[in-house]
Amino acid sequence: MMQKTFAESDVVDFVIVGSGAAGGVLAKELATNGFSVVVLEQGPWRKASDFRHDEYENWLLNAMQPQHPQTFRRNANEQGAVQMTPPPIIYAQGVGGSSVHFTGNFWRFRPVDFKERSLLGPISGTGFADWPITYEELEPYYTKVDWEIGVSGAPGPHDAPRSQPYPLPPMPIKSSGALMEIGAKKLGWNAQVAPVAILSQPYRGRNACVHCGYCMGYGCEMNAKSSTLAAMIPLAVDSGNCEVRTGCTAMRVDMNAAGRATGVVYVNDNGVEHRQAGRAVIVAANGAETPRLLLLSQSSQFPNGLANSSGLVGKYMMWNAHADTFALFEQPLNEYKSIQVTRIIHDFYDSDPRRGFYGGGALDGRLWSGPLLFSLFGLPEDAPRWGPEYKRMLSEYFTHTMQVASASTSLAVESNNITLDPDVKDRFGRPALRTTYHDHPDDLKVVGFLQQRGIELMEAAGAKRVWAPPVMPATIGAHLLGTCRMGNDPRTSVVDRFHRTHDVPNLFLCDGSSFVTSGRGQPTMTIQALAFRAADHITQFARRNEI
Amino acid sequence: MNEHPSRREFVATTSALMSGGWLWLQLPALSALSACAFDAARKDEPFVTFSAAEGRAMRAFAARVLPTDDDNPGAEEAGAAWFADRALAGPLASMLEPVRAGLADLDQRARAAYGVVFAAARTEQQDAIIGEMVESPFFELGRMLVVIGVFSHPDHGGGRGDAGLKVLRVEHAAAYQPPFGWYDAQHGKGGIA
Repeated sequence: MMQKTFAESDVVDFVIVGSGAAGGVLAKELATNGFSVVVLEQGPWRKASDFRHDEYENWLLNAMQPQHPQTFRRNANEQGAVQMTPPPIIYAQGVGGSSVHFTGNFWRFRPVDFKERSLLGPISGTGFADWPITYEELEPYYTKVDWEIGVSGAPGPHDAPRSQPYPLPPMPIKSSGALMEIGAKKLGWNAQVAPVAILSQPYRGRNACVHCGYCMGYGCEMNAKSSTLAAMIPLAVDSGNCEVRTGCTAMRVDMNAAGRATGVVYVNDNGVEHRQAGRAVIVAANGAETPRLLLLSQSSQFPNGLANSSGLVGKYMMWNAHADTFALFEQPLNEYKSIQVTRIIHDFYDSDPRRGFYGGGALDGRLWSGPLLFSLFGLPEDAPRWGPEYKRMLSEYFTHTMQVASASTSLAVESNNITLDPDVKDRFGRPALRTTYHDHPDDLKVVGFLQQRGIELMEAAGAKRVWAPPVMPATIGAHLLGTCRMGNDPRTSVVDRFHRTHDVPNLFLCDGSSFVTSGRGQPTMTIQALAFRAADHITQFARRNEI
Repeated sequence: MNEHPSRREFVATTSALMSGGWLWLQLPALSALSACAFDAARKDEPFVTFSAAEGRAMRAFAARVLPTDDDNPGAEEAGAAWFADRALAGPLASMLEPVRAGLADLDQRARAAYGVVFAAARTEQQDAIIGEMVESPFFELGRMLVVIGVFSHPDHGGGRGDAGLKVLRVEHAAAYQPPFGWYDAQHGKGGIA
């Protein structure tokens, strides 16, 4: 597609850093609203035909992940150590960002997620807080996501109110979903249709899913998975107002003496520095890279990092906690076919103080590993690791196994954060992304509680054998949330309720970093609803000359 | 601790990583494997990294990790040793030495116990030797290389003849239609009692 191109000296209306779940939405909305937009994307621009069912390349080589070094430590008493297989912060670079390789699970928040602190009271030692917005304010944008991105599903008994139905019917049920239903019925729980950002039918010029099985960790060769690469970027470019510039790694946001952003400095893949001018800057680089860019943009004006008068840039990182239960059944499930998840259980969504810990979450049914990863890791721990019995067990278990994945809340803890590593640098000279993370004890308790429910569920469903790896503190995160939180008070938040930084009037941040609480496990839909809403308000501000 | 530390860490890490829904191998320089994409090679193609003796030992080791059955291929048919050979070339040189040492160890043990190199020993003898070595770093590396070699895309040197899918006994297609498995087929018929 031929896109409009701008000169670097053109002062475009918006420079957007990142073309992923949020950046793609913002680019499309602002460009179709008539603004000139340059999107800076560090990775390449792939096509659907580039995507292959190559488990080794996508999962073991992590081919879509940036190869820049990262460091990890559990707390500030430790020194960060380089960790690269895998790195602590998982994301895909390239046009569409992580929306290219994500599983497609797509849950709205519920009203409780926005005001849980008011309901439950403070939790000492945490940044547990209400959002400055309500579900009702975000609902029209959740609906916009449904219809513009393309979401398949059907309402469940616990769902938040919705103003429009799903645009697409549910994906066909898999055996994992049927077994969830059997177990749930026996236990008095509700297994409901899993909403997914995957097309069950052709929609707006894109193909329907063909059930190939390669969603989680892969790009979709059918464009049926509703990445922004498939659903948003083409519309942005077709407006004639948007240039997506790839292979461009942002180094810092430039500021003038009046305290306004003037553009973004970036390097191309050869490390040559460039600068794109803009009237406003939107950073949508994900919940790890957005705070890092602000910290990299420190100056004498902003010695603690750009837009960081609160001191909270990079802090309160939340990953959602995760745990799994596996089960073997008498008959074949063939979970390698079709999308990963067709049924979820949201009966344990709410936090229940009687349990003795904060938190809630959900169960979903799937088997996430393909042939290679299953053969490396998928058998129970007591299975032989080689030889005829190992081979026999692979052939029995692979087609007869499912997994109940538990996902839960994470509490906002200030010591869980993104900082700049003091020692390690990448090939562009930037200090490496340093992750400091250790789950709050309640996160591990609630996900352990959900894991037990998963065991009960599989036993109720009639499993021949059930096994569950122990819950352990996370050292890797793909849900990157909370690090530039929204709020009404500039002392305790980084952006206001419209994603404008408190400190810089023409600098906006919009992605998982904006979250105040973590939700129960599948944040992408909320990220995209926030992006549609931010675009709406930013458009109004711009038209009223209020940026 | 009693277990070899690398095995315990490996298993613990595996459990932790599975909990995140993200499985990874905690092995250094794994990312360097990205340089090793090759056209699918014929089975009699010479090795580029292994000596002839090492290649024979690797093929024999692979054939015991995932043996061939009468009706079902294994690592030999998949060309797993050729995947390992190419993966250990160039950027993965840091893994090559422990793998080389392990392959030499297999031959030494076989000569000491049975008077022949590992590849010439009987399968029960080979299994006895591997059984002695399961706690070693070589076993973990070697097993991983074999399994990737069986199940990876043929562009990487192994995965020949859809051997991996045959091992797992799955029908494979680029697209499927429901019903996918037994339980959802029953669901469509009105559920299971």
